[in-house]
Amino acid sequence: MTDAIILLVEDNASDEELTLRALKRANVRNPVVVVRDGAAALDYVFRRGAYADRAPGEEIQVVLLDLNLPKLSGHDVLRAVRADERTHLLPVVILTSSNEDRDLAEGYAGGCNSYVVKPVDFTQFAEAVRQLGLYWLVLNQRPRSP
Amino acid sequence: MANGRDHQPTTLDDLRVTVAADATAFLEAAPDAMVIVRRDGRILFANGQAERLFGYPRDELIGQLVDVLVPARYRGAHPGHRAGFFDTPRARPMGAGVELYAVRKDGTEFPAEISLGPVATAHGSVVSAAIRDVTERNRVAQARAELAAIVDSSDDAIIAETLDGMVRSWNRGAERIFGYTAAEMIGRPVAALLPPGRVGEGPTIIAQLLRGDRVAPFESVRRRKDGQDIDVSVTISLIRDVHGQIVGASKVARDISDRKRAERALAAAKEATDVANRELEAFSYSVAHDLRAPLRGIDGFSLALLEDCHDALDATGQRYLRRVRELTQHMAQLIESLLSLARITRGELRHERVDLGAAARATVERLRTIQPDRQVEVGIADDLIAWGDGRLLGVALDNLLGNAWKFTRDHAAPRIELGAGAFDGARTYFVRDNGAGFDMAHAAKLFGVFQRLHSPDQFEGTGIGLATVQRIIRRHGGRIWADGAVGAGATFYFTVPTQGPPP
Repeated sequence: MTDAIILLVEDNASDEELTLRALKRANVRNPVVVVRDGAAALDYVFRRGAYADRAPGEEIQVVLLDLNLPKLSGHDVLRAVRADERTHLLPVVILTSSNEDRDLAEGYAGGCNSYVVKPVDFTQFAEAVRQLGLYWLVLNQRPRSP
Repeated sequence: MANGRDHQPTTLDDLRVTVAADATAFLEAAPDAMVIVRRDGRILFANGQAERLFGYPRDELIGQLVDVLVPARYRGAHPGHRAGFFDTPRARPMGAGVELYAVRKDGTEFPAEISLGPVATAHGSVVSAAIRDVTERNRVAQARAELAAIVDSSDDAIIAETLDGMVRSWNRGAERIFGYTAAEMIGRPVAALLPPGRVGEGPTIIAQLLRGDRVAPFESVRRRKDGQDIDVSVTISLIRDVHGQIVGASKVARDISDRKRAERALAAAKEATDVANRELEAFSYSVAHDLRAPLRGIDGFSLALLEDCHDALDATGQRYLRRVRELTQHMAQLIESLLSLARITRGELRHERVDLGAAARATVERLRTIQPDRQVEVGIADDLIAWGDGRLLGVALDNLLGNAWKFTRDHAAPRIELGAGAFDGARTYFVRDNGAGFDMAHAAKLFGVFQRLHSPDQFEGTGIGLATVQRIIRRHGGRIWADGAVGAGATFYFTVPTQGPPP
């Protein structure tokens, strides 16, 4: 289970650092891979480009996906992940500042597993990250990969 | 002829004798009223039609002066006209363009056409007069002239055409709209008006009409004589003759260029508004996303500092950091309020029955839940029904009641009231409190964005609530104003539609 990777797709360095800190304080020991844009996220997910050599044992447990990203938006990443047979069941949690109705609608229509709005209050943010880690890394049962 | 022996062969001479003997019978059988008059004006003969037309028995007419058949106002001049005619007799046929009047025994007049035929006899000249009542003919002609005048005075082009598309009539509206005169178009194909690409339009529709389909007025384009294309609305219907036979089609074409121009201008204006709204939406979105992210960083690192470097900070340092976090939260609230203000401005306004009293009770319930220790007396009137967007009016009440709740905080016996009354004849709702109130000198600032009449130390707030309320009321076509005094509470009045459009 220690190889179950959390893929954090986040272009904001502060949010990245604070998310990592919150995961650490929540005792999440899983390795966290951070990518800064949508294109890199897909490269990592599909083992191509800079991530062509990702080891077969390094499986993604959950993707924490920001929406407002350079190159490809979070919505685009989600669509690409869902469209591919290899990854269409991969848990994807949208973690974003946007609480706009249309983002929520598009996110759920695109097949996200959860949609979490990052609160400005960091105490709440940390709590949200802690619960996410607990749920997706500990409680949630996934079907075995084929 | 009339004696039933017609089948026997007769010679031409026999027939002549018979005709001569029966001349009276011919006069009797004439379709018009006939009288024969002597030079002195005495009537020698009148036929049955004359009896019926003038209402005299025949024996009253015979020997009578013909002048009695002329209306009294012309009677004086009549013997002179009569004498003149006998002096220079010449046949005057029907329809010679002279319209006269005749009078019946009962005194009623009628327009008459009279033909005169001088006849020389062995005993002096006589005149046979045939009189025809033209009342009905005149009426038909009048009706036709009226219809023609109506057609001609129409602003619309009214065109009649044959089934093969040749123009039969062309009114002045058609001249004005299409630039062709009637002389230029009558007898020519109406297809001259069709721009390329629409040539089949007329025949197609006439074919539909001939099949018995209903054809609604439609909008199309026609080309004027000067080559300019104009927008028209066209109604086509079939023309039938008196036997019900379809003989052509009538087209009524209305120049709708002005309306079309206005529609296009409206569409362009709407498009511009939509673009502006989309830009506003994009702006709101980036405000939401891009301004919140650094705030979250400030708050997050402040917390990290407090937690991770706790021992390195003295009490003052820790207090400063807590202030940083408070201010961050305040700014987050400002952003949130601005976003909700922007959301209220855009989006469709719903129109539904809204129970303001029920909405207010729900709001007060929430306020009591959040601050259970506050003891506020709340009075909500019955029957506060408005018509508008229930969600938005709920937001307005949230803000007004929330303010009243907040500003009565320091009062010993706080009271909030929601009611309605008539002000200047319009049903007006109000939210009244007995709280901190405000100085009327600053009333104009109440509804401005970020305008606050209290310092954050006295009463917290973003300065956006009342701006939001005002925008909601205005979107409903209503008005909002306030009344108050420092320390004596505040009353906010607003109007919104009280009922929907009639069904």
